[in-house]
Amino acid sequence: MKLQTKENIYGYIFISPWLIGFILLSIGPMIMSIVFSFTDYDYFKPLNFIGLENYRQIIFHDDLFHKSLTVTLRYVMSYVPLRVGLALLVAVLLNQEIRGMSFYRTIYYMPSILGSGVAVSVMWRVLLSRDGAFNAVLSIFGIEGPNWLANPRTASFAIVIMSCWAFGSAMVIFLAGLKGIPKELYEAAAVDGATPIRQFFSITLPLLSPVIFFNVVMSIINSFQVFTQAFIMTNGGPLNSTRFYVLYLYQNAFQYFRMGYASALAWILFCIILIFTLLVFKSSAFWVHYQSM
Amino acid sequence: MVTSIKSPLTRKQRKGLKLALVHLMLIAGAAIMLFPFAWLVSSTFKPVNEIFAVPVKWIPSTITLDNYISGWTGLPGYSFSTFFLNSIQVTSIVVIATVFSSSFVAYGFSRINFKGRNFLFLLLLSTMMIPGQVTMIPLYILFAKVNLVDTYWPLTLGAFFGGGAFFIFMLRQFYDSVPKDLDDSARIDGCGHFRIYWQIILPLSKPALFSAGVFSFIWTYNDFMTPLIYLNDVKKYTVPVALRMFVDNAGKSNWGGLLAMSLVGMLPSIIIFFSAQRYFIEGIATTGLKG
Repeated sequence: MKLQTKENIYGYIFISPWLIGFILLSIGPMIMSIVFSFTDYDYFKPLNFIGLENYRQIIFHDDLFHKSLTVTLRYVMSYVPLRVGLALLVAVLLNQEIRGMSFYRTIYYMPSILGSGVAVSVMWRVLLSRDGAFNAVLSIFGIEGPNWLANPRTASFAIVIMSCWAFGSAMVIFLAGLKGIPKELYEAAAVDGATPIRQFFSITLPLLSPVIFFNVVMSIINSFQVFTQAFIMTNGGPLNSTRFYVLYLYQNAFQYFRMGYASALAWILFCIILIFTLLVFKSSAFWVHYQSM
Repeated sequence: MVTSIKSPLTRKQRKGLKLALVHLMLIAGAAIMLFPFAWLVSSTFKPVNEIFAVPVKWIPSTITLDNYISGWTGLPGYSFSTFFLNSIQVTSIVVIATVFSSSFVAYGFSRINFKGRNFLFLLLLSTMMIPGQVTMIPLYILFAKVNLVDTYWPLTLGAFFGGGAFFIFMLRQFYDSVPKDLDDSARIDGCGHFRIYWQIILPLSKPALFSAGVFSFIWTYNDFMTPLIYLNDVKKYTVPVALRMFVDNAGKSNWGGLLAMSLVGMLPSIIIFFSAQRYFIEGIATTGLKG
């Protein structure tokens, strides 16, 4: 047996767990869900094809779909810049070679570890209530805080803030990226008279742009799928101001059992995320600088 | 920084000022970051009527464990011990299966030059961008048809097939950075791929395996949607789902217990984080950039 053939066999043996899982648990279900999206499947009746009816219904007649899409888009557009911006800012500050750097890093990273899970959502839910500690602190500055989660105008924003609390994972990635920028560049710039601000914009940002790109893309993909916070804290209310897309999808699939409809919703979500990601990819030609090694 | 003749501060003073400013901002930020958490800890030891006191009462008038007791035994018929045990059971299975299967697959992608490798690796990477929702419904149907709903199989099965693209990717990046000398000398001694994987690569990759393990632990332990969909029997609930049930049942009346159990729910993540911090940081560094 030729060496290359033998290598090929070994290669496929080693990746077989993933490959098999990919076919069984990814591709197969994906094909199934496309099929479902063209039916009015509700788990109990047999499959009944209705063509593009689900899609037509969703796009033209479903107000909640439009609402949830708007709510989610607004969330993504607020959350991503805020999270990446905060992460970048703090990473740059932490990179200043100060004492206690790892102590600060721990504090800023820890909320990320707790994730946006149930426990965290519960904590914030109580924290943000009208008589909660958050408003108590605001009142020290003379601000009267609203009932964050019960007010349609502030609920979504409150969830953005609470999710951004966990910016630590993006920050750590930036920190690692910052380490890759040679200090000599800054020193040379300083000798030429560049201020720290100028250095930031001319050295740090361009050299960090691949990392910024990575963080932005991952944040977009993740934030489109926001679910647990809304489920625990507001369940879509008040007045649907936090009925995020995946929450709406979940309700359709597992509360109303409209599985065909929900499958169509899922594929529309996929397409939207894809479009956004492609947009960011395309735009990257203008602002992402890759170092040629 | 170049100081001009007009500036009253020396270079050293300006540097000191800059550092002080940075520290100030970082401390302020850290206080903001810790505030929710500090409030939580303080609240769980307070009598319930003090939780909503304004101004915020940081030190309780009496330290009480009532919240913990009422929360732990809070749900009729079940104590949180059950839920913790369930979570630990599921999480352990997933972590171990993920660590082994992802390192196995990663070895293939890194160390073996087989036909179609690059294409398949790109395919692997692209799956990281697929939202779970497109497979969520059919997977549920599949598991339902084979009567595996309300078991732990849906929660753990994926871990045996590589545990997700992220871990395979991370370990493959790690393996790529390990020099091939040991592989080569082992091959000269007649070792095949299996032995090289098991006896050389795997022991060498303990730090990366650890990183994969801690991330896998955190993500699995905190996972809410999957157990929410699949688990019906309260006895089988994992901590996140149990907490949510607590919110629904006793949440309106037993704030103290609810908060106490939330804090307890966070503890495993916190403990793992503090004891294995370096593995989190290094794990991210291995993936985030070179790829």
